[in-house]
Amino acid sequence: MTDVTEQNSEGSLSRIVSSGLPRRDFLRFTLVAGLATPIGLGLAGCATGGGSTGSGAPTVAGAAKSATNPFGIDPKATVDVVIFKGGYSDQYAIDAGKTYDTTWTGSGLAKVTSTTKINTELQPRFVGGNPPDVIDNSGADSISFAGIQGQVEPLDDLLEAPAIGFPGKKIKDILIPGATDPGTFDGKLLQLNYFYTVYSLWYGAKLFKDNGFTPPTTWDETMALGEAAKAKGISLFVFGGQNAASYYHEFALSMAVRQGGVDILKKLENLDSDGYTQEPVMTAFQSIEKAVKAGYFLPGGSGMIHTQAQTQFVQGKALLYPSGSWLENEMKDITGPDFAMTSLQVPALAASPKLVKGFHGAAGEPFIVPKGKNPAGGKEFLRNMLSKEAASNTSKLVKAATIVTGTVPADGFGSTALASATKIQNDGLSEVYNWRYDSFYGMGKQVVTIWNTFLSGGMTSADLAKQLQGLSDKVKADPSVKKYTVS
Amino acid sequence: MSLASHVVLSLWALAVVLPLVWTLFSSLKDSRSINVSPFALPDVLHWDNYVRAWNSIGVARYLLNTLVVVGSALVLVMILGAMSAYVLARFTFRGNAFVYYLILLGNTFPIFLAVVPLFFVLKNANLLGTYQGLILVYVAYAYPFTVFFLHSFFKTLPQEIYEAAQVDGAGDWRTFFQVMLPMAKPGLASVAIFNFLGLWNQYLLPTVLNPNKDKYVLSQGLYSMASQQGYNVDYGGLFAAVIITIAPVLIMYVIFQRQLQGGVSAGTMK
Amino acid sequence: MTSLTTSKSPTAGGTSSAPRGRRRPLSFERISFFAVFLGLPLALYIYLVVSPIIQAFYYSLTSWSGYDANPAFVGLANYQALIHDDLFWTALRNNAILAVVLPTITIVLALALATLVTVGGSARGQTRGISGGGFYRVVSFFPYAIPAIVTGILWQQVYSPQGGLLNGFLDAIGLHNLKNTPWLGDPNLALGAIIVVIVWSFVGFYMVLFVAAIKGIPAEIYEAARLDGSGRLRTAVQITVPLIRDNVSTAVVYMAILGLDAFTYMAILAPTGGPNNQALVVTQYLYSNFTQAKYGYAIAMGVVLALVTLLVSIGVLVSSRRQQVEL
Repeated sequence: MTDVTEQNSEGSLSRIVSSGLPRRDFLRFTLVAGLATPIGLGLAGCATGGGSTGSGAPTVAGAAKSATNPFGIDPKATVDVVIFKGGYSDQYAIDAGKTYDTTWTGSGLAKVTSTTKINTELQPRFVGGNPPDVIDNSGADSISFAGIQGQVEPLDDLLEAPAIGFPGKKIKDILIPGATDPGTFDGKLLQLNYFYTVYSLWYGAKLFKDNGFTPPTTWDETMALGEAAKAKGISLFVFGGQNAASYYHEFALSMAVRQGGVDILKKLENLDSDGYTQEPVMTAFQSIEKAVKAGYFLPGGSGMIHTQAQTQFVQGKALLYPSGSWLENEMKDITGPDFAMTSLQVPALAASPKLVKGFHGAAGEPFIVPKGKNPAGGKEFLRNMLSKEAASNTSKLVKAATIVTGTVPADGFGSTALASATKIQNDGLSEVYNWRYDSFYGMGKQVVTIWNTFLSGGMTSADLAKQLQGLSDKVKADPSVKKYTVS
Repeated sequence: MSLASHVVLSLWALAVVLPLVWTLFSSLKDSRSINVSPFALPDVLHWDNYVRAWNSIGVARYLLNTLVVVGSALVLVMILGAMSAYVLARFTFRGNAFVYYLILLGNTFPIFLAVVPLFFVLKNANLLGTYQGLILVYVAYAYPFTVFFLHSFFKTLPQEIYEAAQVDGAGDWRTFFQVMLPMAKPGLASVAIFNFLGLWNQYLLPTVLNPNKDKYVLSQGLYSMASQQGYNVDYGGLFAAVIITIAPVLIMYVIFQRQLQGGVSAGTMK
Repeated sequence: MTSLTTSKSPTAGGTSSAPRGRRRPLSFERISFFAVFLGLPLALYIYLVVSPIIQAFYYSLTSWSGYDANPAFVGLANYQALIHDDLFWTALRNNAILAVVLPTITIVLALALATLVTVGGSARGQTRGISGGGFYRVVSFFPYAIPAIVTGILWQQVYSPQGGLLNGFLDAIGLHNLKNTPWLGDPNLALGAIIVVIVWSFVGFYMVLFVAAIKGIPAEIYEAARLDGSGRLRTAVQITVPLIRDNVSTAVVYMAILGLDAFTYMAILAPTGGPNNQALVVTQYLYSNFTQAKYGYAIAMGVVLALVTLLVSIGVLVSSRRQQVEL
């Protein structure tokens, strides 16, 4: 097939310089997406220009490092934490703050505040040389990491610190494999991505049961299901073409990787000129094309945004929807009480897929510790957030998995979505895969536009591959873009 | 003819009013019914949306901030704009045309372009994130429009009145404040209405220049809610906040709309 | 106070022919008057509006990413790159369409509605407004008071291909094959659908403006036209429009400027630039370059856009002024 050898695996992927695609970046350009982002971006430049190079020495005098105080924090010093208040709200972090306060038996030492506009609100604090000690740098208005990369503390010593609630274990021992990959830059861990996202297909278990449908495991079964559903006036798929057609890009690549193995990602990540002509990729595109041609997509998708499409999905107008595991949370006020949203491994394109249990998974929601007043306290806060108690409490509160292993019970705290996603995750961890080139090189918007045309029947699978390849070629040819390579 | 006119106008009025009614109804529904059956009437009236919007979303706080900022800016820009327009319209001096066109220029540049450098201008003046800073910026950005409209208005005021004031021995200051300004009332009223609406709905400037949540203005708060789209959005609360935002505007407009009669025309007709 | 001053005017009225604003010796009062009336506000304006624009222009000559402390000066490189950027030209073309179509439709509609309200009354007898004209005038203005983002969210629902108001209406009147039309997702429809939204927002505003202007026209003029046997349409085109030319040209400038911006509407109704980029506008493309830390390049786009805006504004105002002289 190609010249890649077997020695490559997720291990090499893990060394990719990346910004971490995770769940939220998927939707970065959603709607009004915070006009403020670019402005804030601009401001950061002058933040450094204004005399504060950000990397001042910590002003909080530390204590000696020890097993119980691995970072040598001053237990009396305040830790200033700013949380992105998005789909997960901020209660989990406020609770983690209490864990911190308990650990250090003080009171009110961890000061946890939250906002939806991380960049807009924290920019002036970077400018003033007074950044918080921990930032949850997420959401549509997050700080472009490239701009502050030099102003954050490496977190590698966090991984070596003792884990709270796991006797005898270090933090690095209790994390889901690959969880630190997205936050690793040039070999240094600069962001701790706290939540774990499983990308998969989703369906409503009750709807399937009522209609006597079985969740498909292969593409042939998927097409048969499409035909059966059509007879009942239900569509197989729905897409939010206006801003989220790219979910099907993720879906197609995920199927291709499952079929052809993680090696096919290499050419895509390296922007090779034949990335999209690899056989499993072409097969995935052609398969989706067949579903488009057969009329299995709910009409009008090209004119919908993601919430409109997902509203159709949770109403049972379409059977399947590809998305990350944030979907349940995002739609919780709109989904009916007995929908039973369930995660489904992407179907096998053909017989004997290379990855039997594999799935697309990635850690997301990057937490950073700026070089500010109390970085030791910032790391200690993260250590507390990764404690068994705090991580378990978080999953319970927000019905989403963190990167800490074994903190979600089999029943998913009563959430079918969390339980099923956790099962896929536990079953397939040895074959997990992820990629970043599309988000890393900022192709998002154009990927949406191209897929929207394709999914509404305005383009063949060959054209789809050609246009997507064009995006990669353009980035590759642009000398001003710093690239990463995967070998 | 009359009937045909009524039919056309009624259709138009319907096209205008229906969406507003929809917004009103949506503000009384929960997220699920807003999305699942967007055009159905509310089955249960969710007044709790308003309670949430007012308290936990913080609309009460935003409203107060908006009144402070927009109110002060409006008064200031009306005075400053009227003064400049008067000078430019009634006095000939070297550079008059240049200054006039320099001011008009400000109308044409997208605010988008200036907003980042503006951030630093305010930061260097220690005005970032303050009421005063935002008020001054509002004044500066509403100033060209104000001068533009009032300029032609002051031109239409009869010269005789000015002469009479001079004969009475009134100085430039008194002539303006006691004679010319009162005469310009209709024009001032209509420009004030336009400015009020423009400032009330201003979003980009406060978002960048007013990052402190305690000082958020209404439009900013609204955008901040809607920018959470993609997460679990509180649609009911959002629409309730919308109603709270536009209701005062509409009421103000209905009360003062008579002032627009004559005011605008006198303002732009030579 | 008003009555006091106006009562004085007859005494001096008619006799004076002194040139307006004639020069007087510069007294302290005159100097302080100018300083406060023009100097102060102008200084504020230059400080907060003009100087940031000039700074922005400088950034467009650099390769500033938005983060580095000392942006490298690259001369006109950003502008040269723009010439070869296909998406930029697509966006500029869409802006050009908006800048032409938006003023045209908005003003024709606003004029028509204003005419109906003011002189659309009974065709017989004296020219007068329609009964209840005040109601229509007041109501029409409402959309202008709604924040753009709300307008966007609202129309997103109206246009929804599944269960949207518009498609529901089309289905109800028998156009069943149109019931799933993706208004915002079809390359041939998207820009038009968004234009409708913007027009909807602004027609009422300009209608109010025109109504006020038309009411300022002496009724005798309309009376004379009527006695001449001039039809309604001819009256509107030949009498009304020339007489409120200033208002019309102001409206053209403002709507054209809006068409050259249009960011908020596009950000909601065409978040990624619409199908096949058919609704991509420059401000939107500029924004996405911001987010990719290409600040200098993005600002260069903004400068080009500002220059275009400036030229259009000057063009309209100058041509309107010239026609006025010819009148």
